[in-house]
Amino acid sequence: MSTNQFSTFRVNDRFYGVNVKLVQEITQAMPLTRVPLAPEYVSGLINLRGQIATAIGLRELFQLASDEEKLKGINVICRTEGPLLALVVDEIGDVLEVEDTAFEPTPDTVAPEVAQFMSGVYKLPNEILSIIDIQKLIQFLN
Amino acid sequence: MSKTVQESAMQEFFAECDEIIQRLTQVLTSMEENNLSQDAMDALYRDVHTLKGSAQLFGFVGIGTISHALESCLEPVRQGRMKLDPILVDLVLSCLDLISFILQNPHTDLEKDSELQMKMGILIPKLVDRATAKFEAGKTLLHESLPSDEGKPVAEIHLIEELPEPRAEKEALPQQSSIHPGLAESVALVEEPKLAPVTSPSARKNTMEKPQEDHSSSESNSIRVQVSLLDKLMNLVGEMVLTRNQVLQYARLNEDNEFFKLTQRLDLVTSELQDNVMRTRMQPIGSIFSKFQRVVRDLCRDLNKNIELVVAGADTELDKSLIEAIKDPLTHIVRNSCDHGIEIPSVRKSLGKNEQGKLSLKAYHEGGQMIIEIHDDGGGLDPARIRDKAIQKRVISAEKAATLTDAQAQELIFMPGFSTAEQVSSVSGRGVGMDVVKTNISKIGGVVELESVPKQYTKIRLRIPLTLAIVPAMIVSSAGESFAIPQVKLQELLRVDLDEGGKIEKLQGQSVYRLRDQLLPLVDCNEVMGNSSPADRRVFNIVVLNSATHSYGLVVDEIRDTADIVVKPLPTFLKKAEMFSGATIMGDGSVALIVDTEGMYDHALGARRDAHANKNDTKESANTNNDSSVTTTEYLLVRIKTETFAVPLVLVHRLEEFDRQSFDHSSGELLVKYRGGLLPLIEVQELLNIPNEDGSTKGNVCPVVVISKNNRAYGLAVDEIIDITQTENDIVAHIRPKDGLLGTVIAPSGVILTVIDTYAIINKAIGVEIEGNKKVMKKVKVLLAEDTMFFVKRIVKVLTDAGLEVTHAPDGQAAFQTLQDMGPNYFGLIVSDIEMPKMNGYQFAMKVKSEEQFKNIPMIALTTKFREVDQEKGFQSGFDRYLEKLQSDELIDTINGIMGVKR
Repeated sequence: MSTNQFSTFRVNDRFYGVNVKLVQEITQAMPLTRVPLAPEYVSGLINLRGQIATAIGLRELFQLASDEEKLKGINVICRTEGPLLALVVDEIGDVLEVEDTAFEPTPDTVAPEVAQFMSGVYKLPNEILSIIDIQKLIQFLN
Repeated sequence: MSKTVQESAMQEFFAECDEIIQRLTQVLTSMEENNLSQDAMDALYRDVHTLKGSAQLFGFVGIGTISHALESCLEPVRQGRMKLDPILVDLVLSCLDLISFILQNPHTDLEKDSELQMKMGILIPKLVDRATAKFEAGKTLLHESLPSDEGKPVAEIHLIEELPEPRAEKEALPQQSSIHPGLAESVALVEEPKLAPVTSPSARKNTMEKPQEDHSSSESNSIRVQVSLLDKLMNLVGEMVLTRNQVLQYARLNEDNEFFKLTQRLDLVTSELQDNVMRTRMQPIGSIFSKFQRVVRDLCRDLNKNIELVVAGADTELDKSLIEAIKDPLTHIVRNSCDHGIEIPSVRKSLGKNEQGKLSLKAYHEGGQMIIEIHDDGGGLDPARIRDKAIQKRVISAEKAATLTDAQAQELIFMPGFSTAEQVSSVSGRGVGMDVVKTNISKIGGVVELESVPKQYTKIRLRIPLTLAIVPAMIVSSAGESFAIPQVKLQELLRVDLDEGGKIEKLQGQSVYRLRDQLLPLVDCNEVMGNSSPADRRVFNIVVLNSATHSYGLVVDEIRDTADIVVKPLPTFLKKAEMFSGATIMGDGSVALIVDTEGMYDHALGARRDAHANKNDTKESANTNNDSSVTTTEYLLVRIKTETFAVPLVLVHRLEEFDRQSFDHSSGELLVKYRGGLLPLIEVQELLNIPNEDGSTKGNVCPVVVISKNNRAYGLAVDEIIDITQTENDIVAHIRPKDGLLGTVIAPSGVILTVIDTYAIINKAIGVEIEGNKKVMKKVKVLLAEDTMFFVKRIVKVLTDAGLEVTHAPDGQAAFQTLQDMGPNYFGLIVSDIEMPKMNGYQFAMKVKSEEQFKNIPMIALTTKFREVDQEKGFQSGFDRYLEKLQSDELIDTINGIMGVKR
């Protein structure tokens, strides 16, 4: 039985995961350089040991309500073919290994703002994990 | 995992193929006069063989087939049984082109790409024929079986057998071309009849023996490294440089002597490391120079010119990314020199020049920059001709052109719009002009310099920075954030203190500064970036920047320091704004954006335009889906005595100022010399009988509004030209009925303006009833679709004066409704605006023409959108004629024409 590993995190208590192979590292909040006139979800640029990563605020991207208490600005740094992306999230979860049988496509009822970035969901015993497709994210950004 | 291995192997393959093709091309193009040595020939053959082998290994069947054919045809040459003549060289080069094409489009399905199939189908048999023909002529037999026999007509072989070479070649080939219609250009050039005669077989032997430099010099001391790896190294070194700077700074504060010594050492090693890593990315510029041998050679043939290309400094090194970036601009300049610069041999002879033109390319280092000189001994740039052309192309006004020095006039070739359609030859006119060259060079931080003496030479000098990775920059701050501006773009720094007599002026709402008597437009960095600027700024820090076409001043909060910065790319989705060319990491570890000076300027202009457009948008109803249905009208505000009048801006041709002293009176008419002719002037004040209440005398300088009517220009003399205003309100007629006035309109400010009927004034002044004397021969009912009341009134008047009955609809949708309501036989003509709400003119025309019952009704577009593309679109949508608004005579003539022909 084949399984997949996902690095999980939360934004506004919502539970998300990305393929662990794409995640380079997780960092605490870092100083951001704002990019004038960029869309709201571009939080800014981060100096990651000499490489520049573009921080994408998932809350803004998914158009979720802002929750002041949760604004921790933890970065999930993802490798892409182009730039480094830093997904700005609230809380980091474990790396989970899930079985393929638990997979299901994204239900239609999920808001399109979020659904357009999802490749599907995994049913876990206590919760449901939404998988973010970095490719779709990049496509959207470009 | 295995996938990446395969991919990297594939990359290797591509790189190798490119290398081979480049080497082959170089050898072949440089050999022409002096034949190849046996060694060089062997190396050439080996390369082709390698190409074939690896192509087949990687499954590139197409390349395999082509290189196999190449190999077969080069085989006898290598064995000395055949000569490598120009025709064969051309053929081989065409094959290499084809291989390059396949390499560049590796995913092309060979089976499905019929064009490629066809090209191959033509080239390969030719190669085979070539080899066969030679053999026949040389009385040798071909033992090797040849791979392809497709499309080789029997009759042709017959021909070749009968005719002695080289004529066999020339006669057989055209016949072949008729068998394969639609030859691609790479193939076509083989058929060019003006080729050097092929030497007879007996002459072959001795030509083979000339010793030649060995081109396949062994390069076993080098390894191939991915560029991405070098980039990474470069990044890391840049990082290290920054860290070193921080350490050095810290060491200076520290008392520890030992630590200080260590840091000194670190400093040295880092600098050396930086130098060396930079060098890994360097490539000799010869890699592109060598391509020009081929370019010039091909051009010479196409243009019937004789040009010698002299290359110097081919081993001068430049960053690889820069080499890529200058390739196209350089190619363009070389093509230009060959096409427009160097004259054809007969002309050169008559000028007493050597028949063979000389084009030299020279590269060298100077002051930390790479200089590339392109020098041709051709006709040079004639300032007078350039001036004429620039005026004709409306790149510059005649008055301005006259003030330019010859050198400045020559620089006009870099203006956008200078080189356009007229000079479209297959050689240099490719829709790109020298302006693109200049922009592209300036994009990489370079400069283009021009020097030319008419009839003697043209020299273009490109100054290119050696590397893009590390650039000196000025750090400025705006709204609390740091930005880096590359030094090359920087002209000077200004500090204007309002309290110390400095002056920033407003021009039509935009800030300008007088810098040595030249107006310097100012762009506020804060504003462009969407921040608010302090309103009470008393001290202006201005960075004067030169972008490709203009200089401007960027107002920043603070000018900080200069620094060497390491340029890091931005993700593409952030580049869209184009205000920033990259980012860099500052000494303190923070990230700063690098300003793209051109982008920033464009953006500043764009932002203004957007603001303008937004104003218009607010008026548009939500259900309109057409592109830009502007319902506002712009008016020019002029003052005559104490009163402000409005002139519809669409009617204004130009604004001028004349000295009253220069007015001429000729039989009661007021005239002034204008653009080589006479401009009739109309004193609006007198014509409208405006009393001279304040008793003021007219100033010496007289502002004139130039109106074009029936292709003639008329000047309306006013007392002052005030401003331009925009309003969505329509003209209300007859509140103050008076000859020469259209009515009144309410300006956004609430002021009521009187609108001048310019045409009526002109008619009145010249005393000729132009309008109304033309009648339409055939009485028809006209449907007019037009949204702007101003034009509705004008057009309805013109049409009714001409004897037509007009029904008006405010937009395309309403017009179509009216058309349907009245049925197909009611209207005999449709006149429509293009830009309308709800349904624009194009959509309207398409809808009308798509209905069987209406499609025969002639349609005339009346618009101010008069560019060629708009016209083209208009005709495509179904309009029969496309006219400019308010050319009433032309409209009536056109209607007469249409009605006469169509019904």
